Amino acid sequence: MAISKVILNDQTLMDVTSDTVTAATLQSGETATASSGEKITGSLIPGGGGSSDYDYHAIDITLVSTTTMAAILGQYVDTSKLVAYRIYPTEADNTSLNTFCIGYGSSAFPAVTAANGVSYPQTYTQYYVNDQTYNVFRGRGNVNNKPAGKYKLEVYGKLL
Amino acid sequence: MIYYKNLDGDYIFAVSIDHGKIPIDETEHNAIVSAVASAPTAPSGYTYKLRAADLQWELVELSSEPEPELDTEEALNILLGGAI
Repeated sequence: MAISKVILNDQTLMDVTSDTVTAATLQSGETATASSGEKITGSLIPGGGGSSDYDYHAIDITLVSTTTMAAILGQYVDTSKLVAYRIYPTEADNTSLNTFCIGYGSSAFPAVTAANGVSYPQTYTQYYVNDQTYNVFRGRGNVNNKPAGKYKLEVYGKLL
Repeated sequence: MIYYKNLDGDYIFAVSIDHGKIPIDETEHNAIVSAVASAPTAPSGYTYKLRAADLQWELVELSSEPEPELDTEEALNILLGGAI
């Protein structure tokens, strides 16, 4: 069992619960103890290791409370580098249509039908700027009060 | 598979898999997901937030200020590196 805090006679002998190190932020091959108390091995490759500000990431998230799209992106993505994102529900009983995606290139996000039966993306407008073609997909409802539930968040960008 | 939780002040914002801020074990992840599944229904204009300290729900008022709809020009600005 992982131990993250040790208290003896009201004195804290060891406490890593507020440590922020993760496998992703620790240099590859190095080991440390995460805030959960579990031993982790780093996976970070100095110099980028081929990653870029525009890599594709897919994250399964469970929103605990109703929240906004801006808040979700702020929790997971470096929005100064964000190129595109798409979010859609992954459980059938989440019937809210709350999605928005911006595509970079001609096939940034393949078409997908979410668990609630809604297909994304729905529409797009194409731009051609600086030798790049941009398809701006728009298919969303109200992003202000996104309900709790399970979602897939896809990002072309840099995670925090 | 690594589980994470993200906080918003004293409340749990979300849990996620393989990407997130604070690593948690599967037991805590499952407890939070279970709490979400049994969340009480909030009246219109309100939401329940899950306190990180004791996993108890707290009724809070939603922001009444709507997020503006993006038009295509604003969307293009995002693509080109502008603020969102």
